Amino acid sequence: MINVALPKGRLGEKAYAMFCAAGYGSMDIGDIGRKLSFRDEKSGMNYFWVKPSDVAVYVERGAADMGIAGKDVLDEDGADVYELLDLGIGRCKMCVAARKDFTDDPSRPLKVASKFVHSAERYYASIGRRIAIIKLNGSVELAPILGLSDVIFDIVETGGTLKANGLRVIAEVSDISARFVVNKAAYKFKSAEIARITEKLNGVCEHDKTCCV
Amino acid sequence: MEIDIGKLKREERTALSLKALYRSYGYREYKLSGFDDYSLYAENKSFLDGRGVLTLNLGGRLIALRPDVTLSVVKSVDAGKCGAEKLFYDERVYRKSASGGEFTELRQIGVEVVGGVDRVTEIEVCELILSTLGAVGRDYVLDVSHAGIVEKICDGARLFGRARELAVDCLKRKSLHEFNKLVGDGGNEYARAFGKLIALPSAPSAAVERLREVACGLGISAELDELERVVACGDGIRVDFSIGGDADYYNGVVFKGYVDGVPYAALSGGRYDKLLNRFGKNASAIGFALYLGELCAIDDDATDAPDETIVYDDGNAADALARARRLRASGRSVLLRRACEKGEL
Repeated sequence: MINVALPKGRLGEKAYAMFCAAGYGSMDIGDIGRKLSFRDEKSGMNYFWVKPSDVAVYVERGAADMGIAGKDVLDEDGADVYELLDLGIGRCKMCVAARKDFTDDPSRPLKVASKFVHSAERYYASIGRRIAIIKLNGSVELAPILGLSDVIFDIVETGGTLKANGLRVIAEVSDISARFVVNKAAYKFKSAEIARITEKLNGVCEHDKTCCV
Repeated sequence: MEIDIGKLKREERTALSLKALYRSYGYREYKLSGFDDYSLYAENKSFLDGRGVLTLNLGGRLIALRPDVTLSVVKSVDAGKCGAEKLFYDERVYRKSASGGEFTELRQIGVEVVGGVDRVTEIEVCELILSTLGAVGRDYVLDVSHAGIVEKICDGARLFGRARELAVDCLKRKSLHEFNKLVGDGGNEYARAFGKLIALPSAPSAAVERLREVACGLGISAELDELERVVACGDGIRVDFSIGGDADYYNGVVFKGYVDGVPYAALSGGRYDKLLNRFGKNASAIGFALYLGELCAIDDDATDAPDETIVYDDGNAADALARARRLRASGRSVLLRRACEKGEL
């Protein structure tokens, strides 16, 4: 029996579709309804939906053997898990954005608003820039507009929200996408099953890449 | 009084059998005393796996509640003696458990050999690790890697500074896709070998064979021979370079043990001559620690319920005491409980 933590929402649904394509799920997403967990009898997989930022916690602590988590969350939390595949879905970028009229003043700490405070601190440490970090939990784009921060450190998918709020990207930090993660101890004791699932999911990823080209 | 081992908790049973095991190999028990200065841990933070240190300020002297035993042993043991100091310990440490949360008191039991480590010692320690994991009474896996192989391949691949940190992180996460992004198409034969480490099969013979193909060219033959000797020690051993082993401390084989039902490594250790060198001691050392606290995750101990409960009051207290003694003498556990007065819950 394998327990899989899926992130609630569009990303999780796409990930579940990949498990189905790999032969590890047959229930239609519409039939699952509002159930928080469900079992695929044929493959013996138990799936459960959790908050996207909690997937890595479930996997790291062994409540789930494996899961799908965004690279942004993995980098931020530093979860001690294996990251076996880049599924290539949920692609976006971690960026620094500011008001269109922003100019940096290196003589004072840069005020950075973000949900991803650890990632932001690591990034600015790597480029040697002093910062004052402001932790926000949502609507980060408002911070520079209201003068709370100079810049924001956040994920950008299409750039539409930034544009609509008069912001622009001033630095691209890293590529983000959904990753297939596995608990380290589960990997030791369910190695054959996990290797098979990894190989089949990888096959689906490769197929999707080919189809998209 | 005879002790019924079956009535002990898993932690108590395991600790007793392990101490007997280590004594059967001629190891001496080492007792630590007092506190250590905080500086000992502040200067060796990465050895502690980021689990933090609790400190106390005693009249201006900053001391630490011991988060790990190895550093204290290394600091105290005289490594200049001829031959090896073979020691074991059973101590309490104070740190955050692998499952996170607040600082807590955890029991750590382990073995340290300081000085005179040769191939016989390495194999003996590996045997002890297998027996230690076996004593827990669950399926286990012992992962083994070699810090020297990782270091030589990183040097050859010209992975230094931040690039090395990122590459080692890919190795720890088994994240070949990220490593390929990191080196791009510009990697040399060492970079390709590093990729091989990430995707190495775990079966010892297959892993060694895969590395043997490139060992001569990479100059890692001696290290691979050492790894091969150790992984041939017994069943349940796998080769896995993802287990890490800080290059500032470890220079040879590195161990990490997993017990079925525990989501974190329950045992870790390795050959740590470099740690001794940091203390100005030019000697070899190898050891391991079992984190008994992590084994609490296996919640299969029976609850502390007595076999019998005798309820007494002022009128039958003497009889109750006598009956309890008789039952205990016959091997039953007995709880004496005073009858509730009227109105008491």
